[in-house]
Amino acid sequence: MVAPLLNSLADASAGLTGLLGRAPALQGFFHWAFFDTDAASHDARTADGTYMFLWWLSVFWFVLLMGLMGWFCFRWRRKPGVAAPVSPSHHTALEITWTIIPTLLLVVIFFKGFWDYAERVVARGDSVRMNLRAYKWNWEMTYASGRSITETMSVGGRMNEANIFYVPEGSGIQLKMTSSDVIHSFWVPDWRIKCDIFPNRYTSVWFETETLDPADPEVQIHPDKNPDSPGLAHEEEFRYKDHIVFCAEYCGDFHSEMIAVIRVVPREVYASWVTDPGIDWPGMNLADIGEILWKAKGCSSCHTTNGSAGTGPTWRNAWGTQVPLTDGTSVLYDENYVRNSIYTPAAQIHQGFANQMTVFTPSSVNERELGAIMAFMMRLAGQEMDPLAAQSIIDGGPASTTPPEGGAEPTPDAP
Amino acid sequence: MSTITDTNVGGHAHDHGSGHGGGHGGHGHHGSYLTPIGGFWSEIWRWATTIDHKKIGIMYLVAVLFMFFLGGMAAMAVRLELWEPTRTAQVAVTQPVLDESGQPRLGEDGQPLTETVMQTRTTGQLWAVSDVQGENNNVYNRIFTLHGAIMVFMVIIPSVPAALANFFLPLMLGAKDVAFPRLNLLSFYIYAIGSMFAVTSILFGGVDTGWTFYTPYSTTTDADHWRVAIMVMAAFTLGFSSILTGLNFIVTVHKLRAPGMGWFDMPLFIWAIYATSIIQVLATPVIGITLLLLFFERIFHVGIFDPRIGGDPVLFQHFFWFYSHPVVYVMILPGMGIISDMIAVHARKKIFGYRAIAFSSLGIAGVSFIVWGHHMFTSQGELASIVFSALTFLVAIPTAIKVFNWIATLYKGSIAFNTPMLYTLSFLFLFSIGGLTGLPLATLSTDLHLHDSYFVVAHFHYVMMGGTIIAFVGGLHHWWPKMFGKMYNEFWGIVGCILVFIGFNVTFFTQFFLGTRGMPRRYASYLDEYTLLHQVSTIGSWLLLAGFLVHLFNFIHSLVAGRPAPANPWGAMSLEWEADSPPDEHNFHHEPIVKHGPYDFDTAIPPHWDAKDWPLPDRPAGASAH
Repeated sequence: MVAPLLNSLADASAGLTGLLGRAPALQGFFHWAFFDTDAASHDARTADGTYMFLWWLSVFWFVLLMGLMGWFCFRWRRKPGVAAPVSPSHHTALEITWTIIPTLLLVVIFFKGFWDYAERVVARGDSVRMNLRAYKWNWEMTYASGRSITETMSVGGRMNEANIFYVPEGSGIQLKMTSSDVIHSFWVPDWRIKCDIFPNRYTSVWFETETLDPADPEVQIHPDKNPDSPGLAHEEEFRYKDHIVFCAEYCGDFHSEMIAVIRVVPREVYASWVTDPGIDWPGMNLADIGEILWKAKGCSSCHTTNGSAGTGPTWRNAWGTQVPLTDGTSVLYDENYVRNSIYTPAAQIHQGFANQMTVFTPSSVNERELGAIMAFMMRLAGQEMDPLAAQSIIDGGPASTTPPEGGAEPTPDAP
Repeated sequence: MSTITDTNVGGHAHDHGSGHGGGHGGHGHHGSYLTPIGGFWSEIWRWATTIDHKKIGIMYLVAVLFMFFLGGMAAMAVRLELWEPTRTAQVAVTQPVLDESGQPRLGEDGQPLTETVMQTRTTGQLWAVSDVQGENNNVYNRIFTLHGAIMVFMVIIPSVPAALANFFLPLMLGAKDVAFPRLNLLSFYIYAIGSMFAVTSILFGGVDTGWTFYTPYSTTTDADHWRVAIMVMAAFTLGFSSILTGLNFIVTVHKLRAPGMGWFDMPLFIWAIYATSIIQVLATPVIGITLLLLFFERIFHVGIFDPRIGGDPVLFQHFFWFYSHPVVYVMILPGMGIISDMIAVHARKKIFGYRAIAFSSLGIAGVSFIVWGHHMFTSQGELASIVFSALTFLVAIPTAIKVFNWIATLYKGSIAFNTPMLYTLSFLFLFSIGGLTGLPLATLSTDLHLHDSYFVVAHFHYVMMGGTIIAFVGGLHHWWPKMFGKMYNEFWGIVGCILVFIGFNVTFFTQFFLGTRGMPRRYASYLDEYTLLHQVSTIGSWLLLAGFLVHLFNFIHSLVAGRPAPANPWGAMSLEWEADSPPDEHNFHHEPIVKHGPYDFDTAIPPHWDAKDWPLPDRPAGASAH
């Protein structure tokens, strides 16, 4: 009974939007002013429609109220020696009217928002599922194939690199998200979608990717023909479109640098990419792979390679030195120290730094990746990993360049 | 004008013979509350131990204005830092990489390697990019936290209730003082201690949690925990000050109204303060308990909010907003009360729909307790979001009613364009924008995009600053003559008001566009595409600063060389204008007896009436003089 009535009210409100937006130039101008570009998905365009409806409704009320205010102020401005004319200070019918009209409007607005919302939070059954892990201060996407991220790019004048995630065009995407430390929030402005990410539970966000239209000025052609470049092994050209991901829940020092890029690519490109191992282990220098991982695993947000201290100690010229620890002892910067520091960072804290490093696990940084990172660290100290050891890492062997001496397992001795 | 001859029928307190006409400030003979009676140190002692609500109000006012200055400087720093996308204080420079011997390091291709470093503009000091982004982002984060925490807990919450209401609530009720004068002094000292905790925390480095202290960030950010702990302690202590003041005001309103003053004869400012006090007494204990739980968790390691030991961070958000959302109305309701009074006095018109305004204050206070979840649309369950969205729209109804009533009050008024009235009109303009932009935030589908963006920042500044602070500054002008017995300079008051109005809109209207275009809040650096809008906003903040400086100098000038204020410079009807300017130590020379309502401009004579200043309206047949 109530629902059809509300439905027709919502239709009427949509009609009002159409009427007010009849001057397409005006509607277009304000849509541009608020959103710059069109929303990139169907649901997001619906939300924009609701927003523009609320905008014109607000303009109507604001102009009405301010117009009356301005007119009263001018018409009954104070004049010397003239008193205010007597008029009633209460009018029941008027007061009831101006209570009921806003109430009805608010009911319409609520239901409009509610229906759009219901459509947006229920995922399409055939959605592609991925896992997203947020941590201070980066994002890590894991695909069903187990592939993780190895590509980064610089965004909008930023000096640090953003991870690139691939998603197929014209598909529903469902992300299962969790955080390794504090609360983060996944926001893609182009899709008008946002969801908080918690350390103690999974949250889920769903969105639909657009079909790549060659006429869309933001759709680009994969330009990267450099064979040395990591990532896609594709030789042929393909279209893609990038969307920025922001962290929207304040999370500390690099909150504003916690940016990623979601790249919408054709389905067949996605299909071959997602099964691609990403890094060409046999074909690349191990230290180069380490440098890729330094960015991709988020090490670069705290550890510099230029000798200056960041949130954590620098990696330049660190390998092989004695590291002063907060408990007054020191330890040799070697394989075991690095392994310990990645898997149990709290056990040995470098003097002058706080205990705030993200804990990695063998599933987030595996033995082979550990080896590549160590090779990179050695190169930063002007050393080179023994080629045989490097080869064994590339072949999937243990990370150690020397046989373990019983201390390979992390020994958590609490400070 | 037929009724001039019967003006004295109203029987108002003219008996001390010095009330009206310019030139009297109460100084000299029987002494206002400001008249010093001893030497400098004995005066300091007298103020520090006073139980006079007026002196306590003035002490609050000084403290709040000082905190407003601190929080405002932090805001200026935040806006200045956002002038450039990455860093305003430093500029990026490219320089060759040197090796240990100071020679340029060569790359594999034989060309000298270069690196980008940051250079501080003023000192020339060089920084690694990562240092600037890490260490200096941290400075930015502490400054915006400082701005938010100070403005919320130490400026907006106490501004009107503790400073202006302390001074005027007893005067408007025709009382000698608040119900519990010693408790009132205690609240002030608790406020002072709380502020000192906050300042201590800031002086020792500050906190970077944002004013919301969300867990688990707030429990892990500060390695030895004590700065955050002190800041939390500050909020906890300030809460007690709020509770005690609220309790005091509730009892005062119930018990100390002058003879003849019924509930519906109270000025609407009192209704607003009454509704505010109810919220303070009921909601503030929740934040006290929440902050105690935070301590409890830290000291005894009982998992309450920290997921590492089995707690739930969303629980903290529920507790926090269960207090902090009602507190939003603690901030805005007193501002609405000031507007109700100022618009009636300066339009010399009986307020339209008195009862609707009074009950909508109580309605807002009631609804404020059941809408906290609209701060958590992206973090709570979908069903909870739907329920809270529906409840949130309820708040809009009493708020809209108030705005309609205020505008209807202007109809057939006699509208003066002085500083208080211009602030009232500014309030209506800015608060309407603040209210209307709440619609897309309460609407579920659009809030998914706008949550935690600059749109929210702009929205709550329009409400908190465009509402409460604008009403507070307007009220300060309106009641300034009564508080200090001096007139302020009207010209410079208007100049300041216009600067503030323009500066405010330039600063914050741009932020709506930043938000819808995707700029997240609490970002120390941003993408290049947002630069222009951020720079416009920063320019607006300078205008805003200029406006407030004009007011500051105008007030100082008034104190030093202002024209003495008459007892009732605006021709207002409420009881505070029957007292001297500034009031006597005991407020009134004898207990006032209420014979007309606070807005009966049509039917009664204002206290200290002077025909040449305020013509009376032709009254409808049958209306009596009181």
